[in-house]
Amino acid sequence: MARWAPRAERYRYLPAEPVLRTSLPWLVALTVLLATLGMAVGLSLVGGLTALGNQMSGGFTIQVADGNPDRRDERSQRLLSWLADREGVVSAARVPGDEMQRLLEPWLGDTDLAGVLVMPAMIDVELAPGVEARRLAAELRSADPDITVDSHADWFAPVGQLGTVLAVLAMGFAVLLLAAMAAIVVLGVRAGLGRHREALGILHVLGAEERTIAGLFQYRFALTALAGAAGGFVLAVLLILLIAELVGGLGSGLLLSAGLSPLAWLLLGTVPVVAVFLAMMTSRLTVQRALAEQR
Amino acid sequence: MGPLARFENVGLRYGTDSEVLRDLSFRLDRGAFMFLTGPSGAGKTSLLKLLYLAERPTRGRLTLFGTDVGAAAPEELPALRRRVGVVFQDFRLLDHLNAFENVALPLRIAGVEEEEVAAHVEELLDWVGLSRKRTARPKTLSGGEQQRLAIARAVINRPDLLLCDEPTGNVDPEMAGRLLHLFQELNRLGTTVVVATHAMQLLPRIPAATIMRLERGRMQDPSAYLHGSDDRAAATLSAAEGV
Repeated sequence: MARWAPRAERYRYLPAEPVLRTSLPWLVALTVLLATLGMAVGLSLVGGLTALGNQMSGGFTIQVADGNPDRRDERSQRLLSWLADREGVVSAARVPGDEMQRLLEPWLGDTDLAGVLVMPAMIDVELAPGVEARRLAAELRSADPDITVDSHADWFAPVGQLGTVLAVLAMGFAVLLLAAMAAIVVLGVRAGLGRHREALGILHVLGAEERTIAGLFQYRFALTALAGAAGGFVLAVLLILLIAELVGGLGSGLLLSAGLSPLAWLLLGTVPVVAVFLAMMTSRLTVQRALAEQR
Repeated sequence: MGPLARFENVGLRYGTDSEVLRDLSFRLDRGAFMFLTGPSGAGKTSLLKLLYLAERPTRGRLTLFGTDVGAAAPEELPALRRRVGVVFQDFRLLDHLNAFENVALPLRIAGVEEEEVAAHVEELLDWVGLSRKRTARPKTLSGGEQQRLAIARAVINRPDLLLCDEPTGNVDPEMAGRLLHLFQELNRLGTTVVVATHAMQLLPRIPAATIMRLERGRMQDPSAYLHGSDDRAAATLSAAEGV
């Protein structure tokens, strides 16, 4: 027995119990696996949506609808010139006609639209970080009241809100799983107290301190939880890497942007640590409470 | 220096049951040897439980080593328990530990250094004639050997008070005599000894002992069972009349 083990464990006050033959480490492993995956989903949603939101909120699209092509071009040019002088505008460019043709092709086929439909002029505007898109859009509308300004942030807002709710739910799921694990530890400790009732009674009579007994259980459950948490976490990491590999193969910009940042990996690493700490503290408090009830 | 234990109108009940001990008032002097007698169910074991602090009085006042047990904080009790050695009728040895480890248990719980533990345990195992069985598990020992092992565990940390619950119940008369001799030796070394027994034939073997008889949880007139010096008789009689 390691020298850093509590005195009670070093001197085998209670009979040894093979850790892996009990169900607890497996339950802890499953809990940590699911909690880590839940956290990973939540963190990747938060990361992906934040990146996408930053990308989206920093821009808007101007539509200049005018039946007269010359006037439409002139108004567009005036707006582009106005934007070029504005601080905080990274780029402002008219969407080329063939690009608009390509965007509408799924619905209208490959007909040359220029001869069939009166198409509005579209200007994509990208702003520097921190520039308020709404204020700039309002200024544009006052410069040309007949234009339509679509702020990307406006249509992204509901998506962002849904993503935030899903992320909170995923992380809440992880927290609930850890709470369920704590409840399992309580049951495990109570079963252990029952199983070792006779030995505990003798230790009690011989003058063992309650903290000694509590420390013994704390140590045992920490070891058990450590074995389970390590196994569950390693499996979760392998699954996350596998999913990341599959997502990379899809080539979806949205999914790729939802990858885990180093900070997210660091947060995921806290799941097994929290599980072990939770098991330790729960076991200690359960024993102390049980012994206090017997006083 | 006051008595080792003082009972003042002590009562004990388990849960909502009727009292198993009633109105006990007596004192146990330091260095005394006391026989606790009475029929089965008289309350002998319950009285011992009060003395080794497995239970606290539900009524009255028990002072042990100068501490009011009823008013003591739970954190104070382990230290008091370590001053008491107990030999149970069923020995209560830990089967997963060998003889050496069982005897070492009280010292290790008390935090004694391992070198000192080894020296003391070896000496005591030799004293009870079990030095050759130091690595044996209790289940592999005979009843008499288990008994001696339990006694060694009870006295290893030189307790101020030694409590023995029916120590001769499972042994032959010769072994019973040897055990009593052992307790007498410990008593001579200064340990207060209380032996609960219903084997009345043992009582004359320790002439200096005081005797308390319990019946239905009450202390009966001890004078009929007294042996030994007038002083002890007087002390016990006065105890019977109230502290």
